[in-house]
Amino acid sequence: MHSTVRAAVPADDARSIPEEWQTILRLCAGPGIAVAELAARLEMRLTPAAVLLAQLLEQGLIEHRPPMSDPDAMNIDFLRRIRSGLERA
Amino acid sequence: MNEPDTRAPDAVRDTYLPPVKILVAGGFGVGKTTAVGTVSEITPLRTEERLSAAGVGVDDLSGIEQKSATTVAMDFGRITLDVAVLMLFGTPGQERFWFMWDDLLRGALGAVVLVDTRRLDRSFAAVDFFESRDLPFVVAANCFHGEQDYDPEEIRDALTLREPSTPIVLFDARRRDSVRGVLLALMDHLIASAEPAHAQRT
Repeated sequence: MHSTVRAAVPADDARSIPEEWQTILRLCAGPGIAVAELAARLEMRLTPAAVLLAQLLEQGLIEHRPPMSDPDAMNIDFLRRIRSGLERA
Repeated sequence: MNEPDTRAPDAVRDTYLPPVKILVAGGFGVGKTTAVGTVSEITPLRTEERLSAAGVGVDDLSGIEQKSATTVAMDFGRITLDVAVLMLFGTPGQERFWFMWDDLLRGALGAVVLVDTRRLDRSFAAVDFFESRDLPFVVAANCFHGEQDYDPEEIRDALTLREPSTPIVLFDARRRDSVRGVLLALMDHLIASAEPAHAQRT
């Protein structure tokens, strides 16, 4: 639910794939989108959406970024950067 | 470090920002949906998941799993920063189902537990859950109609918080600055917790 995915190929370059997949590629073009957000936009529950995304991943159509591991998340410099970014947001 | 515009449609490879997950919990009617919506840069979305308790403390009889399955809905919002994307998950109120939901806590940086001081008992389950799993959190008391009859120490006593350093802040779920202030309090708490290892003082 908290991983992000993004298109590895533009939707326009993948006309031969199912329409549902093209929709996903369009939704995840750009800096990446959380699986939870994608599922909501597709009006699907999380698990079916994740199954669908796994198929696209297998085909190399999307990239996947898992949630950060604990050591990364607890890195104090990273936490400070988030804080200062949030302050400016 | 150069910081490209992460919202550009043709974002380049190195703008694939790390996702940072923050949970917004609390009982029914305490303002989770409002709080997520107030601070999110997108119109909040509802994400659903079906949880099944099959095999959890029950005999594996066909049909049972159907009866013990439930659909939970979360509010989802996000804030894109230059270094990360904050993903806010407003957790569903059915805390009794959380234990079978491995994905809920995975990758979570921390949590905000919203409380309504008129109905503190509604947030006990969320406090217990995060305390028992050692996820750092802040308690945020929603000031309905801009008023709050209790001070943070009274709220701390009433919630019987295990960790004395857990911050308690008063806020207004309808004000963006105020909700952002709660998230900043969470970041301060996380930074303070990480600091001993770095032997630094603020």
